[in-house]
Amino acid sequence: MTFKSANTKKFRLIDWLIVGVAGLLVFNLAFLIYFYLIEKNEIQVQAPVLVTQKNNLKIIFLDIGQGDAILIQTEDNKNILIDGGPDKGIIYKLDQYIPFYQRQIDLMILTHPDPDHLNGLVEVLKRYQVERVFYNGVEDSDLSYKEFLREIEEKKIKNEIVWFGKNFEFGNGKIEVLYPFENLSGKNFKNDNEASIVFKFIYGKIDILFTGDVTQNVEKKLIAKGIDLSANVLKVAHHGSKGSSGLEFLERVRPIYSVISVGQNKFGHPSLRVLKNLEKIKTKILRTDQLGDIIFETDGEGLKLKTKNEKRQGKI
Amino acid sequence: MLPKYKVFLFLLLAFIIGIALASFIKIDFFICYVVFLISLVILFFGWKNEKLRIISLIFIFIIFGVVRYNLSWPKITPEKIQFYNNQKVVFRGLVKKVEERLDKKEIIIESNLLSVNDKTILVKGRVLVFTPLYSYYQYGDQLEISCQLNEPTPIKEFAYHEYLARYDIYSTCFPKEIKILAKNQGNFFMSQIIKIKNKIKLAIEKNFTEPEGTIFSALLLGLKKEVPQKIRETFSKTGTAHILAISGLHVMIMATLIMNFCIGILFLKRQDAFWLVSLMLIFYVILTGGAASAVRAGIMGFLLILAEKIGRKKESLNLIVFVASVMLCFNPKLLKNDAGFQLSFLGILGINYLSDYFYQIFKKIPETKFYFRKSLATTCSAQLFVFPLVLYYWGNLSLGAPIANIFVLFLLPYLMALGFIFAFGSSIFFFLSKILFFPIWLILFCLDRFLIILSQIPLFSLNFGKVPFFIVIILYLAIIYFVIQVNKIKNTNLIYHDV
Repeated sequence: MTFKSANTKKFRLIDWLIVGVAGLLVFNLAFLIYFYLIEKNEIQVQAPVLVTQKNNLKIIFLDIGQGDAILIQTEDNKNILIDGGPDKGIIYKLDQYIPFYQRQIDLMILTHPDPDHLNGLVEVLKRYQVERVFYNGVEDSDLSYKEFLREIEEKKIKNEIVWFGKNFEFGNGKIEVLYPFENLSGKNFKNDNEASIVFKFIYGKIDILFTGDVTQNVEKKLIAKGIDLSANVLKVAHHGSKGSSGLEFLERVRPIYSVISVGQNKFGHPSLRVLKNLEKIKTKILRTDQLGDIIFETDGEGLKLKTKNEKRQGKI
Repeated sequence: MLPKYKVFLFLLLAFIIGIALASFIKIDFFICYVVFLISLVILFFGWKNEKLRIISLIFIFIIFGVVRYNLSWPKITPEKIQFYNNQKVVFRGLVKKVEERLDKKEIIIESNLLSVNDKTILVKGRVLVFTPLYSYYQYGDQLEISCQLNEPTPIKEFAYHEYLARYDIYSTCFPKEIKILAKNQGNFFMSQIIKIKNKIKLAIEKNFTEPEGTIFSALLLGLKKEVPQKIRETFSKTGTAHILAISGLHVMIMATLIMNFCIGILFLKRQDAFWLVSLMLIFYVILTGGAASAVRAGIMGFLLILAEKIGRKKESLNLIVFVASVMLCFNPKLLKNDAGFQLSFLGILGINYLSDYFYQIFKKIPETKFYFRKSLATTCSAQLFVFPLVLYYWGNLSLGAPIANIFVLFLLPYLMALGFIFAFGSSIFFFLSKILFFPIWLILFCLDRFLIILSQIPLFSLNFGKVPFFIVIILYLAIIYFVIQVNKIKNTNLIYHDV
């Protein structure tokens, strides 16, 4: 080896660099193998319809513990983030899906200002380039909420208070807001869950219903208004709480998959009654605390389901 | 006649033993007093007899140690804030330190005024205050806090109260209300350092993805506590947790590496390199905000390169023990409760006694110009001395630690060098961070992925759960025996010095 000879002073630095570069290359090779062999094995494919197209839209229910956080990555690389989970842990999740050179969220939706939906979003606002924010505009004295509004104002991010009738279109898909029925800006709610934004995400033939943390009270209002609630995938309201997901509502939705975004908690989420209701309507229950991240891929015709469990063991 | 340096060493060891005794057994003041008097009498009358003199001196130093430890638990008087634990109070104090966690912030407050039941009292003592994630209290803020003071209690098996006692904290609270009375009341120099540190941290957060960002800020700024448990586990499983902590071990290894780098790559003289590395250590300690653990680590790193400069083993052992006793004199609780302290000193002892041996073992590995072989010997000797204790604390035995550490060793000089450039660049021009971050990010990304893969190989790291203490003692006896054997057969023609 060149290292041994004493007369190669000139080459010392170069040797060093070569070893460095070679080392990095070996590393990269290891990752390629890692990504393409190990990670691919983890994918479980489930019917109904397989999707073959390359650039599919992805809906990712992130496993961030007790809270909600859903990332939608559109076919033209736009990121939509719905709620942010209870703490800074959301960043560790997002960074697995959004590469370091992108770091942009095109639309952020805060369904309601409760800590287990809001806190993570504040951190996202601090670290990511956020283009646009939807929220319900209610008043809340929570420090994180103040910080959320301050960040939006300081960075001059386009923000909109949304209610029934608001549509947002992107590429081939759109978001239709179903609840609240009127502008709630400046109103103060004792229970913020009542003011949760409910919306339907429509992409081709695929409908996904996002219910935030709404209670049965709101579910009844939605039924009474005669809105078409049917969807292929349902994000079960309020982490499967016993105060939500009435049977009548679930029968209107009739989802193939029902996703419960839940983690360790002291409230008893998801409740047994809700799980039974879901079984009654013969939907497949997917829980983030059991499966890790739940990923749907779609081309507008069919759905493909994957799950991704963290490689690391233990809790964040 | 015992040489003077040996007497000195024995007395220091006696002091440390005294602290150790007191931290595990409750020793009555009366017994101390009696033993102290008796030894004093023996010392007085047996001054001429060398044995008697030394033995009585040793006892006196043991008593010093015991007394020093007992004094470190403050008497709870009405002037101490912990006197009011479990009461609803309003107190004023200065923010000393702010630490961010995943879901909250932890603030250490130096209290000065307290009112309870309409009485106002001057108090002293620190309080750990938990505040929401998005609250902005800074170093030097004068706050008025109303809350119920709680006494820290053990969490499951973790002695949380002893852990906090190490930082002189005996009360915690979840505040109901916080008012900011004044700003910028702290030390000017300190607040400037914190400003720079925050700037660097912001640059890291803006550019790095996670977990690379937190790993880097732990490495560079000493924010180890902000690293989530899950990520820390990956590192501890592969035996590389020392790069997350600014432990003495980490700084020691780093000091040796940078030293080797300076001599091997930059062709500096050993003498100049010594001063350069000392300067860098000071800069590093400042960068971490002068935290107690960082100061300690800095001293330790300095010690190591100094010991290497002196070169003679006996003297460097004296130096190590001396520094340990000085540190313990300032904070005797370190000995029992600070794993970092224990690991650092074991590590430095290991390097002192075994690195020559390992250097010869690795004869086959060519010594490159950046002292790869020597660095390898350094880590191996430190790891060997540390592993029984690691086994005891965490039940982990990482068989692949040498492999993982070779990679870490290989990357660490690049990382530290680039890290310093990043810190320097982004604290002057923020936009520079956008360019400078990339190579660091790439290295950390590789490192993290590599460690994840390693930690998943079965049998790579073994978990023994709870390891009984006597096994640890047996292991240490074996290691001591090994060291004695090694030093006996030591070759006279050692080739371990400047090239």
